[in-house]
Amino acid sequence: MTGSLIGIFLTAIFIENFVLNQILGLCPFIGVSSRTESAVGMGISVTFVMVMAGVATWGIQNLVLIPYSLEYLQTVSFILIIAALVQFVEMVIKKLAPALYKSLGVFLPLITTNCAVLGVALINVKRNYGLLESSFHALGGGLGFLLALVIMSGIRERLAISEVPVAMRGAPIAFITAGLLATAFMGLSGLI
Amino acid sequence: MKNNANLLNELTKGIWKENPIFVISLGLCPTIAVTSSMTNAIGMGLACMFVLVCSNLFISLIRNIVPNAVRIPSFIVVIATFVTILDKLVQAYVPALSASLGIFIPLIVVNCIILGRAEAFACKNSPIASIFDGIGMGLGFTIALSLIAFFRELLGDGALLGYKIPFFADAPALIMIMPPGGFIVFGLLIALKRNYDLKGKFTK
Amino acid sequence: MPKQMLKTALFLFIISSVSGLLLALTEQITAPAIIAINENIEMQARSQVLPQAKTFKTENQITIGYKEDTSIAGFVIAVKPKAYAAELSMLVGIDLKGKITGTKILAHSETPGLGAKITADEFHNKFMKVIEKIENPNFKVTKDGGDIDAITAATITSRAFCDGINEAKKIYDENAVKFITSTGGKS
Repeated sequence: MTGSLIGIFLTAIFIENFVLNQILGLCPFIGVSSRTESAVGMGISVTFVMVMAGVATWGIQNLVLIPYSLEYLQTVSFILIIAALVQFVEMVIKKLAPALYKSLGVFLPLITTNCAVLGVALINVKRNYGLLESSFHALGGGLGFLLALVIMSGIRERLAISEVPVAMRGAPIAFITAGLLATAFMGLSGLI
Repeated sequence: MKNNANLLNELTKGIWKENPIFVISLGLCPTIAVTSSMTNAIGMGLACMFVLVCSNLFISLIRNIVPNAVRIPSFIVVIATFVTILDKLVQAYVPALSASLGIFIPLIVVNCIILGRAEAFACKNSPIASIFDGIGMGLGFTIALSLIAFFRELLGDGALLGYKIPFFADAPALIMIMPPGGFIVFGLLIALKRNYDLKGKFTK
Repeated sequence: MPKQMLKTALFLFIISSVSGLLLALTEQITAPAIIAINENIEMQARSQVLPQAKTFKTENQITIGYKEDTSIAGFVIAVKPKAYAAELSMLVGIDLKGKITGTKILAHSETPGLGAKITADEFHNKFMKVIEKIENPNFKVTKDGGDIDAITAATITSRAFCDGINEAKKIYDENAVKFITSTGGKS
């Protein structure tokens, strides 16, 4: 973590991948990764929310919470901001890409409870990132999430047409696949 | 009599039939992240149970006066408040747990189990029933987390609850306490339970 | 309907106020304990690397440790060398003669079983033995011609540790000496 923006960005995608290394954002990861189309749509939506949330939460933390000694309101204010942002993104997607809106279904409002979104905001605060660093970190995190989702959906589309034992179908085999993916990503550690 | 039987049911359904992790698949993030040691798993489970019971109770108490339009935001405020209270209490009185669970304590606020139970149960049932539902789901969550952690800590660290176990401590499979191990153990356990539901036994 | 909206707004106001009040109350009750715990952790870490010091004071990049009789015991320097996965956050204690009195790893993201062994007593004890035996040790791993034995299969982490030590020594040379001469070794 050299502190440089590119370093933060790339680290967030490959070395500290939110899903496969930090284990954040699992629910939609398993729920939406069975088809590549919805995986891409979800990944982009989450990236969008993450960047906006990263900026908004930085603003609240540094312009309101710290100056007025209200840090204990962090959890409440962060999650409310995220909920509001997701509502906003929902309205935008419904208007601009109704097909995507339908295919994402209930998982779109569920972005509010995506650990990766609140997670990136909390990590930004913990590492004392400035505004630019927070944004790059959030952008990298979202793209890393998208990457993991797309790889996963590619594999799962193939799994769907192979012979899997009955008890393993669906969730079990998805998790084991995720485990193998996570192992592969561990190999990227130490690159930067 | 019937009331007591019902309450007992609310308590126990969370442990097997409607286990939040293995059946409903809620609250996955902490499931894989904190189960690398049994102490962390139990700590997280109990922490969630605290928030779950408090929020279930509070939401059940206000269920008739919440305006429908602001239902979800109100629930979020309630849950976030209790999570912050828990966070501060743990930081002040169990700092070791706060250090080992890290951001996963504030992340309890987005644990789908809590909002899920608020929506599915607490806003439609009495406060007492909601408390029992909270305890039951919390117990089920804690037991599920501990089960996963049991295997991961034993195989990955050669220990249980921090105490080294002779045979396993000699050559632990480190990958078990890292993310991949978590995914794999979890997947296998779901498969085992599925098999049991289908065929009445755990294997074959 | 304005009346409905008024009710909703009132409800939101009440619930936010109750939440705010509860949280402010919790903060009042727990803040002293939390501050005490954090100070304790910091104190313990510093005492571990500079055992002779009883109190500490931080100025710029360097923390000065004072003995009970208020003379300077030495310095505690925090460094964050880049290691394998991320940074190694460490404290280095150096006494008035420029000798290292202790080191402590505060945080790391190294691989368990490999780089993570940098926090183990085994490595630390070996390191302190080198300091005892050799007058002016070359703080590099043996592969690079130095006096420090790297951890097996964790050369990068070991190198990072050495980088940290050297950086601490540099900060010491730049700052501590000035401090000693300006205050004559007393606080």
